Amino acid sequence: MLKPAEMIARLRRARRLVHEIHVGTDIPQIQSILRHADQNLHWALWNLGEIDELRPDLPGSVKPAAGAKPKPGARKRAKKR
Amino acid sequence: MPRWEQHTAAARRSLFWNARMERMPRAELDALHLAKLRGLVAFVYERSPFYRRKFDERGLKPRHIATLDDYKRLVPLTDKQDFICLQSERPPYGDTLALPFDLVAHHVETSGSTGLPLAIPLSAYDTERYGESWTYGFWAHGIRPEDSFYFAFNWGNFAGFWSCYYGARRMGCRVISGGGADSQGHIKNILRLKPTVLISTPTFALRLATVAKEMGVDLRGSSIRFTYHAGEPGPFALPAMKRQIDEAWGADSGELLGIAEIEAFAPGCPERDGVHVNEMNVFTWSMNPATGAEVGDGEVGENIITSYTNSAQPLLNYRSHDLVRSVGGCACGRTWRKLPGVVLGRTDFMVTVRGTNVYQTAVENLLGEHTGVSPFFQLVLEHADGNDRMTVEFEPDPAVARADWDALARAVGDRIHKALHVRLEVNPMAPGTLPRYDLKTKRIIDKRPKELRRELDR
Repeated sequence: MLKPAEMIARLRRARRLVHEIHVGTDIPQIQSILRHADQNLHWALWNLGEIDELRPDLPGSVKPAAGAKPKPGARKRAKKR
Repeated sequence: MPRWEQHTAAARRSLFWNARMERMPRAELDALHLAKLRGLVAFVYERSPFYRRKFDERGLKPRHIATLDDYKRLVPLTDKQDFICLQSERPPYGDTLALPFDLVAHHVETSGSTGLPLAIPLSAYDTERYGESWTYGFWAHGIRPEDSFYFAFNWGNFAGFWSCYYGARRMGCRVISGGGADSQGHIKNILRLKPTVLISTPTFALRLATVAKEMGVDLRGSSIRFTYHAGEPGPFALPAMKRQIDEAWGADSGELLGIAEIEAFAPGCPERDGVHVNEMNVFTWSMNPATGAEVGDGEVGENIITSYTNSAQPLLNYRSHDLVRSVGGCACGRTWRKLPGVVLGRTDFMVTVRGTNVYQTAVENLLGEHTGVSPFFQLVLEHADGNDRMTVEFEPDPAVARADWDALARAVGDRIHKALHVRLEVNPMAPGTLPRYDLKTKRIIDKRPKELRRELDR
C-alpha cells in the first residue's frame, strides 16, 4: 500500500500531467473531460488533507493564509461579533 | 492498461468511506480546519460583496484569523434571512454570489418550509462535493456500489434529494427515479424494478408501508434492504420511528442530517443513535442562542455551521437554528464530532406555553415513542387570552380501538406533562383525516396572528 505522502505526490504529478494535456489541445471535448478529471484529483487531495486552494479552477485567486501570521495588534482591531 | 475494479477487496472490507480522515486525531482535524477556514475567509473577502461588506463593517481582514477561536469570535454570524433578503432585492442571488455567474451549474432551492425558499447556486464542483457528503453515511450503513436506489419523491428544485442523487452516482449505484408516481405507483415500481435502497422522508416511508398493507403487499418480502432518510426527525433521532420503519420494511433504516443550503453535512453513525459531523466538508461549533457564547462539550446549543464546499454561495458561521448536543468520540471509531439524537429542538420553533418554553421536536420525540400513536400528528398553535397555546392532534394507530382513543390521549398528555412540565390539550383524530405530505411533513399548524410569531415563523 502507498503511504499518504506517496499518494499525494502522485496525485500532484497527475494534476500537472492533466494540465499539460489540457493546454496542449484545442479539442473542446477533451478539455472538458480533463477539467472534470482535475476536479476529481483536487478532491482526492482535499480528502487526504492537502489544502492548496479551495477550488482547482480559479488559479491564483485564492491563497489560503496558512502559516501567515497576523501583525501584532491586528486581531485587537477587528471588532468582536 | 491494467483492468480497473471499482474497489479492491481490502477497500470493500473497510467500515469507513475514508478511514484516514474519519478517524483523524482531533489536533490534526483542528489544524486542517484552521487552514481551510483561513483559505475560505480569504476567498469570500475577495469574491463575495456580501461578506466583504460584513467584514469591512467590523474592520475584519482575513489576516486577523489566526486561531479557530478567532474565527468563531470575529467572523459575523449569518442567517437564512440575510440571504433571502439579498436575493429578493436582486434576484436570483444578489450579492450572495461568490463566483462568476457562468460557473453556476445547478440552481436548487430550500423546501420553503419556513417561508420563502432560499435560492442555492451550485457550481459543477460544488454538486460533486455536495453529493459526496451523502456517501460517507451510505458506506457506513452497509450500502455498496452494487446496490440500487429508489427515489420516492418528485423531482423539483429541492436541493436535498438532488444531492443524494449525486451521491448515489458517486458510489456507482443504479439510480431509479420515482418520478410523479403516487404511493401505489411507488410500491408497484419497487416490486417491478427491485431496488435495494429506499430514499424518502421517514414519514413517507411509513406512509408507503401503510399503503402497501392496504394493497395486500408485505414490504418485508421486497428487494429493499436499506432505507435512508433526511428532511425530518428520523430513525436515529426517534427510536420508535426506527423500530416502525425497520419492522415495516424488513430493512435497516438510516438517517443523515442535512441543511439544503449547506449540504448533507452529518452522515448517520453505525451505532444508529445519532450522526457525525462531516469534518472534511464543514466546520461546526455550538452556541447559546440567547447569549451568543460558545457552549461546552456535551451541552445543548445551536449548531453554527461553515461549509467548505459551497463555493458559489459560501455560508460562514451560519445559524442553523438546530439545537444539538455535540460530543467528541464514539464507539464506532470516528473522531468526527457526534450529535446524539441528531437535532434535539429548534430555536425558531419554540413557543412559550404558560411560561414554559416548548420545542416542536421535543413534543414530536415524545409522540413518536408513545405506543398507539401513529406517525400522523400535528401541533396546532393558537393565541388566546394573551398566551400561546399548543394543541396536539394525532391519529391513533389503526390497531387501537375507538373506545380507547380518549384514554390514549390522556396518557399522551400525561407523558408530555411529566417530561416537559407543561399541560397540552391532546386530541385524537380519526385515522386518515390529517394531511399527508410527500416531502417535508408539516407538523406545525400556526394559527397565531403573524405579529405574535417569531420572525422566522411568519
